[in-house]
Amino acid sequence: MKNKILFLMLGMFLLIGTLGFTSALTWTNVSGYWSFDDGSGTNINDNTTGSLHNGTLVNGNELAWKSGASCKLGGCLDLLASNDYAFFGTTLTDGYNDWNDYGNNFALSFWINRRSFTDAGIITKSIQGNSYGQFTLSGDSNKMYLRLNNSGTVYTNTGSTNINQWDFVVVQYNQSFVNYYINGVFNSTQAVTVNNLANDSSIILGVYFNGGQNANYTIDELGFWNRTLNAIDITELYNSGSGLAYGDASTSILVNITSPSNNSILTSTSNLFNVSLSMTGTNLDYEWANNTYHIWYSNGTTRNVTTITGLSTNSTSTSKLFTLGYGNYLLDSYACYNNATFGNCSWGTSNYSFGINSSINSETHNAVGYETASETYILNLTSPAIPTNAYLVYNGTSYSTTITSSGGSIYTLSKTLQIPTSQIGSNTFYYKWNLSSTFAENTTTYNQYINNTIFGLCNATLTIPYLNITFKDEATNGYINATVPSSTFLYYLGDGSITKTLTYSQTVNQTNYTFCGLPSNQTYHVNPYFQYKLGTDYPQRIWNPDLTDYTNSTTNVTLYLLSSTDGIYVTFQLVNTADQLVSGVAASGTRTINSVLTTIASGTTGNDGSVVFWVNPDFETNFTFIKSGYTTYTTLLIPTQSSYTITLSGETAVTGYDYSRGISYIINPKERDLDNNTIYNFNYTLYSTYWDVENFGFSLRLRNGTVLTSASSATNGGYISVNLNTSNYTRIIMDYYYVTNSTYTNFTTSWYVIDTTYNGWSIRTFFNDLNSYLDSGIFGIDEFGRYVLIFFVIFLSIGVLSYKFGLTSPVVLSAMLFAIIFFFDVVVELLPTPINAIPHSLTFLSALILIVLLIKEAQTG
Amino acid sequence: MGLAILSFLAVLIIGLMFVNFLLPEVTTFRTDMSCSSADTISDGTKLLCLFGDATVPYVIVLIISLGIGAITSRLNI
Repeated sequence: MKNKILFLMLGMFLLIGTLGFTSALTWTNVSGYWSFDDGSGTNINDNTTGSLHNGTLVNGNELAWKSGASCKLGGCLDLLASNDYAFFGTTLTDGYNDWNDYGNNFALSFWINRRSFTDAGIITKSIQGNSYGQFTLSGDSNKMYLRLNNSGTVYTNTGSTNINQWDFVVVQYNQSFVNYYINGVFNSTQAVTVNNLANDSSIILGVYFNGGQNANYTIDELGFWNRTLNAIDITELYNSGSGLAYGDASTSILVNITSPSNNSILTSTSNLFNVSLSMTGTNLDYEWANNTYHIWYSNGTTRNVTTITGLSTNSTSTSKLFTLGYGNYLLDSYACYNNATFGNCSWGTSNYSFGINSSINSETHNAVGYETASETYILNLTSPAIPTNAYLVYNGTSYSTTITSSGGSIYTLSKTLQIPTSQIGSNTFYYKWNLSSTFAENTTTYNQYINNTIFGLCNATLTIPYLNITFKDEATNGYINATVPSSTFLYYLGDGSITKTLTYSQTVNQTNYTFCGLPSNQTYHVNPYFQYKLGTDYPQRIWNPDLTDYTNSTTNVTLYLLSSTDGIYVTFQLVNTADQLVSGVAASGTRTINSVLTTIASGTTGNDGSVVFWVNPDFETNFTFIKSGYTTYTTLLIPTQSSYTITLSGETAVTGYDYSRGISYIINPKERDLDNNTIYNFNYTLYSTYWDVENFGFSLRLRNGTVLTSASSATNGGYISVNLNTSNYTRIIMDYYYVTNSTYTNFTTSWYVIDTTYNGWSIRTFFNDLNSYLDSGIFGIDEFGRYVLIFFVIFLSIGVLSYKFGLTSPVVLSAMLFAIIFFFDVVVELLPTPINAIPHSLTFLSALILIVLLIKEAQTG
Repeated sequence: MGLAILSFLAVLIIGLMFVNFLLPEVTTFRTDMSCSSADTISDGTKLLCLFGDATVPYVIVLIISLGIGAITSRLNI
């Protein structure tokens, strides 16, 4: 039993041995193998073990032996078409004895370089002078002819063989077919019916079966096999065209791309590509010559072809730095090797793919979201460049994302969205960004399901209570029922930019109202406006607290109602310090009920600045009024009045105030024209009877903005001055201001500086002196006196002219009036400008009157 | 007509030559009276300064009037 098992195992091993390793040539069933490396003499050595099948060269002498570039591998035999030939056998006619024991299958493998296509014998195994023998292989034209078993039937290859070129030929027979392989490639097969070959004989090279028709060729690495060869055997023997010596393993060429890795993503546009070049086998006298990098775009378009030359040895590597743009690429390497007689090239094992683009590290989002909630979407990626123009595209709408660097090549794209109420159900989104102005990337599509958000009265669907409202009588502190004439609950889960509203009312008295939320694991931000009452016995109150967060830990709220016999309506009117109505003030009233501080009123002032509460006038109640920008106002009182006015102070900005109220000022010098090279006292006197002036001052500058001097004071009005020499300035501008209630009010005035060299006697000097004398006071004539004087001048001038020349037309009179006012106001500037009036307002007014009269005259005329 | 214009020009030229003599006197008058210091001089001084300021313009207006008078008398207007 044991022996049976052993034999079975041996058989299996042999079977596996014959089946599992057919991928490599085995030098078995080699009837003879001749490399023709002898170099001289007449003996042709058989390379198989024991050299049992040596051959004999006849008539070839030393010229038949070739080597080097004339041969395929090592040495070779050159048979001239004269009388050279060689035979392998005990004699010319007898083959070797052991060949008789071989079966009928055979194969011939050899390298041949034919010098002519003359029909001649190449290899024959026959007795010369007789028929074709076991086989005769001859050449004619560009084909080879095989005849078997003395039969004249010809078996040829398809296509053509070459002349003056080495070809590797395998021709074989297995009783069913004859196969040809040319240069390692299957060429043809033909069915045969010969089962037994003729009697054995020697193998003869270079002559026909009949001893004539010498061939003219060189032959190398001749193998005579007593079996057929398979395709792998033939490929190994062909050895990529370099041939294979007896016993050798074919040389395996390995072009291995070591960097980048296949299907890798590179994070830089500049990368080192490495290729390892090696070879295995027994014929390692090859050396690497060059290596060519081939890079294609993913669509097959060539991107780069770079050849590295100057290689050596049979094992080496190449490195090349490539700078490529963003995108996806294919890479392969084509390396060439050679020795003294043969060269060939080989591609890498396969195309590698790589990309210079971003790789996604992670993406974070909630698989399920809710209406009105804040949902955050985060994409973490490794990128060769800073992403720009990054967007989250949610259901087709693009939202700009925040791009954050996490260090190195790691970036985060993030976006927080407030989920609108229109996206319930399945939603899809993806991210997109640019690595450059021409290269855009995007992720795959992600999914998110958005659920409803509901805040409403508890029912079969809404089961988790968030808010429970009960009612009590404020006087008795006992529980009572209530109805809800109207209520709205504005609620949301996120930041409030998206909200939902619950509108609820109930006309039937209820002891309590419970509101639930769905989803029930979220915090709801709710702003209730809840009107409640109990018939006519308990007037309506409003519960309107600030925005409040409610969770599934139920919040219990007790609202108080006050009987109609116990309360009064009290109106609170809110105003600011300027007596302006203030709306949007959060008002509340609290009082202690059974030792508990309880809110009994809450509301917000409307556009009329008022809020009305139903309160108990018998108890002290604390009222608080809050609005952003104002100081919180709290008052404790017994609300016996029907109305109260509350003034909120401390507002940061008040609009609509008249900051000129109660303000007056005097600017000197009064004259409009100043003499050059003269020191003047520029002063500014400010009076304020209403506002508290915090600061006032002035600066003197030139037209180009150069500040000459300035003065200021932090008092509530007063006098400030500076002395300034007018030098040769042409114009001096004063910017003067005052600050009240943090509001800056400013004005500008100016003086012309006149060269007084030749104008000391002009009539302008008269009016300048008149102006300054009137300002400083002359004979007690003040501003009113000035107006009176000018009035008399106007009256007398117009009166005299009218009387003298009979001028009664309103147009003429108003024209004269305009002329005189223009002279006194603009020319000599005797008329002062009222505060807050535009300069020369009286001139404009008189001009307007003149224009109106002219138009009227034209219309009637 | 030509004689009228000549008369006008003669009056104007002679008159302005006369004005030249007034100019330094007016300047001296203004300096001595301190007419520019409105805050320090008395009301009477101010009034005198105003008269002094009006002197030259008044004389110029007078000369022009005389010149126009010369033209009109020549032309018997």
